[in-house]
Amino acid sequence: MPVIKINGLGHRYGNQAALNNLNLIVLEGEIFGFLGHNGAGKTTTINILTTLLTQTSGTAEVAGFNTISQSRQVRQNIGYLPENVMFYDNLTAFENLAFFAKLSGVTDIEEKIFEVLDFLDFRGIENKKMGEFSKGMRQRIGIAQAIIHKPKVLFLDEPTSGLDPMGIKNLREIIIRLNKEKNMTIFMNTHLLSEVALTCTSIGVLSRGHLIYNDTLENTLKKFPSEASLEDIYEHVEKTAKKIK
Amino acid sequence: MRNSDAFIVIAKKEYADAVKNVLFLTLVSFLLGLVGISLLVAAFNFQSQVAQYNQALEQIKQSGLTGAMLEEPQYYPLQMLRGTVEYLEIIGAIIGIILGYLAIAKEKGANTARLLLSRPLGGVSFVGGKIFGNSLLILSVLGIIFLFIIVSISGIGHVLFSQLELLKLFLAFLFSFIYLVFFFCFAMLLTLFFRSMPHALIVAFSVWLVFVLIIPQIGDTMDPDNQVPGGFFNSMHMTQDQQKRVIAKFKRYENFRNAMEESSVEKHYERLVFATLGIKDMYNDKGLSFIFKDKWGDLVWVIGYCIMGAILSFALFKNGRLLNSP
Repeated sequence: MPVIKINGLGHRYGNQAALNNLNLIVLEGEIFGFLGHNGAGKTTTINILTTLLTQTSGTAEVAGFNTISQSRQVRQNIGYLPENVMFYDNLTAFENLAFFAKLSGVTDIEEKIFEVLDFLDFRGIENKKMGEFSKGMRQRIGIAQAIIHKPKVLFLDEPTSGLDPMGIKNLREIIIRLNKEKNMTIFMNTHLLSEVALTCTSIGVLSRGHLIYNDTLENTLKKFPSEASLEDIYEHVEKTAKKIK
Repeated sequence: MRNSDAFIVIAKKEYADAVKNVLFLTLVSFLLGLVGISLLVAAFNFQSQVAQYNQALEQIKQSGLTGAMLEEPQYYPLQMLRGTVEYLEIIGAIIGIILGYLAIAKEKGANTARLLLSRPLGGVSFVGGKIFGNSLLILSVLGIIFLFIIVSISGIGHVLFSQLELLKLFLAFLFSFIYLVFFFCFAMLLTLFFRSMPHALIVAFSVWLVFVLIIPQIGDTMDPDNQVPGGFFNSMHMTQDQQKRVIAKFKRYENFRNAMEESSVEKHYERLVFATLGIKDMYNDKGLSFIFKDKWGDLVWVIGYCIMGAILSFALFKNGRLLNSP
């Protein structure tokens, strides 16, 4: 069952096209890896899907709701971790989480905060000010605020950006557990192919605003048996797309 | 989540954030300090005037004359608030600007706007919550000043306020509240409007400088009545009608001067509050109906500015204005 349906999506920043006629379907339960170089249009896509940005053409649906006409319902059903997530540094982790939980309509705040922190194996930090947190710790609180209201779809924008190898490994495990244990569909922007290979169930490749490839990871690896790694596949897809153009 | 819930959550956070903000606390302390000093000076001055009268009365009685020979002077304790009103005009406006700027800048600058806007809350909850929370904060600051005035004037000046005086005091603070909320909304809408936050702050303070400090000062300097200490017309012993007739001879000059003052929200606020508190002598002993009949235009301007600021803040709210990067 599709959880994200994108149809002819386009966006322009002035005269510059960031997205061109993007068509994409993400099924429920998938971990979708959205690949592309910097500036390919990945963040623009996430911004549109999270209702932060209004597209200039096409339509998008998330969890069955239109991102423009039903933006409020979309936001009720999504969790979002932006790249370089920021919090109110003068507040504690608990106060930050409580604030965002309230805005998402969570009622039993304390119980939910501890439940999420337990899930992330992050208890004991709740009374620390956010200003004292490292990048990796912020990222965990970022995940916590994104899942505290149990969304159907979780959007992660470059979640491993700036993390050390151990932080990347931990985050990878969290993403897989969220998908398996909490049944969340995950849409993840990344340019790290290694992450996609270890985490995602399907991939899409975006190049200069165009979707040039979209399939399950399993099929992808079958389709390109001669390619040694996912990096090779990516290179192959990009070259093919350029030739077609 | 209901809109009203999000509205309250945002409002509560605004209040809590501001009371922890060092800049805001410093400005409020500064304002309270200045108001306190001006009130204490005025209250002691008032006390000494009363003491002087009592002493004179005593001397007359001791000399065998009757006290009735010394006409009892009229004291207007609310006139002591001139300094307080002037500080509210200037520093109160700065507090409004700082609060309005911070309300948006803290989300825009730290990029917490992304997390906020991905929640199911609309522009009404976001902007409305910020206006409501900060309005409560402004009300709290004014409430403290209000209490301080009552305690210091009645405690040190030994003045018992009449019910009408208390009502006038309350109205003056209501107008001050509207004036400060206008500056809050004004700075908020500028911070929403400009992509660069420093630009918003520069424009806000430029407007403050021109319309709060410079134009009213020019207007005052050009006022013929201000050319002589104690008032030109007063020193010439002219009646109100005579004053009007003299001013009518300089109509074009007076219209220009008035138009300049009319452009300043501060001047409307000052005229309104000075009349309400009787700081302008001609409004002493006058009832509220007389004051409002004469000053309804200023009241409409002050309320109009504030409502316009709030409406524009709602109108300017757009996700793109809060997000720093695409």
